[in-house]
Amino acid sequence: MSEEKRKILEMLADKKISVDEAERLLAAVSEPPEGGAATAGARGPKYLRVLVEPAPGDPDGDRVNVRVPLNLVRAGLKFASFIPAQVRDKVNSELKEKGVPFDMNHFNPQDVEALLVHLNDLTVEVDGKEKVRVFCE
Amino acid sequence: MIPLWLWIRVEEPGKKRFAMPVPLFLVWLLLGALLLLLLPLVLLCGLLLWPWGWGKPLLQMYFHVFGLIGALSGLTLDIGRSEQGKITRIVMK
Repeated sequence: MSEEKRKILEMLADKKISVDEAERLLAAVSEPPEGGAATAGARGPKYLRVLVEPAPGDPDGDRVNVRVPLNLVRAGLKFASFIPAQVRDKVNSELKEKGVPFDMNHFNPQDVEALLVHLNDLTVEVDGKEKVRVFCE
Repeated sequence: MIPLWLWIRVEEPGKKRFAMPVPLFLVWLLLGALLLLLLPLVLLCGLLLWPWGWGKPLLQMYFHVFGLIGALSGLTLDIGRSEQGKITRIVMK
């Protein structure tokens, strides 16, 4: 075990860092120096991470950490491409009624693939309360 | 690689960590048997619905279910209350 990993595990044991922070630090020290951003190594990102952190001092806040394999995201998106054309028109009209300007006919899984690959780190603060972080690793 | 186990772990400060494995491979066996039984019906429905444009999507979706199951490996879900420090982790591997 490398010295950095040992130090990270010692900090986790001493409760100086949380499990999530330890996981990210371990992932960071496992990457090669010229790996660049933590999002994509030479083989590309493998997981989509969604972290929800409650506002500080919020006793009812839920902490959520989801790790979704990108293959699962791609497989799920493929289902959308199986929708027949006549159903897509119905879906488009329903979306328009709800005020969502999204056209299923122009939906391209390759565009979403490109978005996932280039997704570095996205943090969204919801109403000054929770923080939502979305990134690929 | 399809996930063979589903691990449910509950960690709470001051308490012993609880872990329970769920044998997913048994679920896949049952699901596989069910999908095999449904295959002739799906093929028949696909042929009958082909003129209306539903046949091909139906067949594609049926075979795509296997790919979806295989992509589940590595799915991790952590849920915890910040104040209580209790974390429930569900992992498919």
